[in-house]
Amino acid sequence: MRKYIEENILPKVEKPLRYLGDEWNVVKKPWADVRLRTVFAFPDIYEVGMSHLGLSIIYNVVNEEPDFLMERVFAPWVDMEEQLKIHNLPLFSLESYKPLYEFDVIGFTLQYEMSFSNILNMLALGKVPLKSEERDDNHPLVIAGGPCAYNPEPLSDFIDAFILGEGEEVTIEVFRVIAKNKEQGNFSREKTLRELAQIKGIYIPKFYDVEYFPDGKIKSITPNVPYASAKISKRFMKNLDEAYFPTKPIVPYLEVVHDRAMLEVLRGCTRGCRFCQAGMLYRPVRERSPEVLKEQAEELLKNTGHNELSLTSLSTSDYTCVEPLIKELLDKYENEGVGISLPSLRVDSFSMGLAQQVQRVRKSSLTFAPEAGTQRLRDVINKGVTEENLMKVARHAFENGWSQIKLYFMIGLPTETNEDLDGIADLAYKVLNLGDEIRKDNGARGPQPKVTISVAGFVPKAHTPFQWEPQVNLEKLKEKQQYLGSKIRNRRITYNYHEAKLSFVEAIFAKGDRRLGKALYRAWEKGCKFDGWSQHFKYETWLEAIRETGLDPEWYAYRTLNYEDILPWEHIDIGVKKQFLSKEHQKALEIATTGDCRFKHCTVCGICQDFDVALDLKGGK
Amino acid sequence: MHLRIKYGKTREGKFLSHLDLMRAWERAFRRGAIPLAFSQGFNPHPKISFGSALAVGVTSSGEYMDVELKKFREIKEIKATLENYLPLGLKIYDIVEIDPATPSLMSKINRAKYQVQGKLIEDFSATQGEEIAHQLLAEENIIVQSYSKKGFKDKNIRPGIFALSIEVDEINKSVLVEFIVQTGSQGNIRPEEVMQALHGLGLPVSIDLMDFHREGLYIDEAGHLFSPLS
Ligand code: SF4
Repeated sequence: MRKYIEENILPKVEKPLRYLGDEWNVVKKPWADVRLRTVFAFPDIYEVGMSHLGLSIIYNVVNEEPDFLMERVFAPWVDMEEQLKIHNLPLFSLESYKPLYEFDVIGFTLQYEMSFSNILNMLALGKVPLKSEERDDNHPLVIAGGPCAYNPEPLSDFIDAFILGEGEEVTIEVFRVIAKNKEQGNFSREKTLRELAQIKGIYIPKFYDVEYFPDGKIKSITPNVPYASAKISKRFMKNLDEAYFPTKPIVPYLEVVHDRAMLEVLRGCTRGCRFCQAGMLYRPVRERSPEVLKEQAEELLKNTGHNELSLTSLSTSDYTCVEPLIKELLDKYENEGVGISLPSLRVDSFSMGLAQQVQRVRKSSLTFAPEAGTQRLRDVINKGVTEENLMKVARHAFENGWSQIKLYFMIGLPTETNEDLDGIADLAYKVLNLGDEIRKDNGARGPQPKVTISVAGFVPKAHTPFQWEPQVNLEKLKEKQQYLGSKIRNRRITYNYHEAKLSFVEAIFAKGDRRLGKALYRAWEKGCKFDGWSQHFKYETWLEAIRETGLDPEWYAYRTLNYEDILPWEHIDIGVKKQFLSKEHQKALEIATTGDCRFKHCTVCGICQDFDVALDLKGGK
Repeated sequence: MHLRIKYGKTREGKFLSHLDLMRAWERAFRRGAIPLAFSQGFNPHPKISFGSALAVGVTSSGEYMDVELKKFREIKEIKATLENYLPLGLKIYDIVEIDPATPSLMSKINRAKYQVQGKLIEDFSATQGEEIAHQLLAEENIIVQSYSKKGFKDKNIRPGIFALSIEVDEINKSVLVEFIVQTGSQGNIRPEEVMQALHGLGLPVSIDLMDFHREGLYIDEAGHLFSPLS
């Protein structure tokens, strides 16, 4: 099969290396040598998937087990899909070129809602029946994990089992159960799923019944078998120093989105931004110690040959040991031409010391996320950033040779008015003017300062204080986009905004329930795929598909939920209590802020009280 | 220490672009802890320079690169180390130490020899093959459609073709075309352009399914071809 594809198909597609799994550090195991054959399925193209740290962690932790193998498959780009269809070939894994249907387990990662249609498409191309109920004992088990698994309901027709939370331990536990069942002969999906349901963190949608009220709201979500628990709690690593970390990741030939070695300095973020799902899902903050990180950095660079090391996390500048760590890494690797990079920096934790270190870091454009234009609205969303913070950082940046600053904002936030939009434009102008002043003081040398503002539409997400909030309607969102555009009249300020229609469909699924599965299926039938790619996003088709299944897209995106309502994700326990979220929601409406438990007292969100885990800061509080 | 390396791109590496290949080399040096020298400045680059870019889809057994190292290493040790750390698809043939004053590969290389092999899609005899080769070499101008960033334009490739032969295997119904063409700063003839011309003269092949191989890069001095290693 591989030879045929190489000779007849790959010469005809764009970037054939997307489909050739021969990269450095790839793991290829003989199929006969293992008990269980699994494939990690990323529902987007290779370049996106290979930039994802989660893939690297799971791929390597599984392949370290002598009994299991894990291969990779990505969404084939449209030209490849067409070739597969012309030649009547199934979608195959990169390592062994085996069709998806030959694997024991297919594991999808759910990074964003707008990749759901690709999941269906990949299963179909892999000749695996799409619906869980259509698959029998000879078909692969289809499992899924990742951030969107915390509201898994829209996918419950298609996925046999969801893994909630951090996967490095639980994936192995799941695979052990499946392998044992496979070996016993007469493999039974039913029996296997029953056993999986008893593992902590595993959610099997078919073991739950959902009832609705006549108005469409949920009446109840109840287990229909005795071995399924009423609430499914997420899995997490207590101690990051002891957690597995891959120091021999695959090195793509192809240039991928993040073409660098990745060091994970911490997990979680307790800043408490009220729109932010990641900030609630990955609590509490757990840091890796600098000693472990330095060892991992050494190994990573030696094993990959990368010339850049990125310190990744939700908020790296909050790492309690960030300054000494960066300094030591730079001192050690600078002479070898290795750069250290930081993902977007936080304005409020950007200290003088860090600024000095960052000067030695590669000069790319600097990004900051004030998220809202006025102090009032920033207090509503609990984004503890002041204008003073931002200007201080901008000053540092301009004084130290940066000429481009990128600012991220959201529009359509709860309580937002035109004044808040004016505030966004004001900030952009203030930063630009500051840059001009500093440049003038320096004798007007170097490139002219530029500011980019990137504006996303607010999408209320499950498990956040804003989960009860509606999305602003499409017309209104477009008006807001235009209003803001009309306030920006300087060619050195670039204004980018997200497609409002995409945010709308995203909102439908972000707060969706399992009835949406039919709509998703219908949309896939009508050819929806790669929805996150603007050239492929078919808005009208999506709306048609949802309506044809008897559902109302606006109800999903624009409904206001009450605290008493049963949420579609009510049975999923992330550790943060619902009461905490509703209290935060109320405080938002009262324009009251909440502190970060790393710097002040515990705000009793619930995770450290109910789960066996605690805040772990290596540099102390 | 300055090195000149002769390397190849094998079947497995066929789809690497020039950029992919450059990254792959830098990473192999780094993994092998061979001390590359770097340019100064904010974004230091390793001092590696290549002879001539090789297109995606083309294999080769005669590519060259010059590399500067910070410290001396035995050639044998460098070769063994690189062989250990090169990804699938790249292969080393030879490494020599060169004088730092050696003119760059880019400024010297001006010839490329290609071998293009594939199936015949219609009956075609060895004599017919020879005839087409003669016919092409007898022409003074051969105009092909050449594709560049600006779009298609006419290009006369004949002055850039220095030798060409066609060998037909009548039993296996396949053909091997070999030719030497101009490459480098003075002008560049792409192998597909030569094949396009032959196809126009009646060679029955489908060009996009043929195997393109660059046998080597050369320096033409007064009509004699030299290897960049000599
Ligand atoms: S329980 Fe307290 S310490 Fe733990 S994450 Fe929540 S607020 Fe922070």
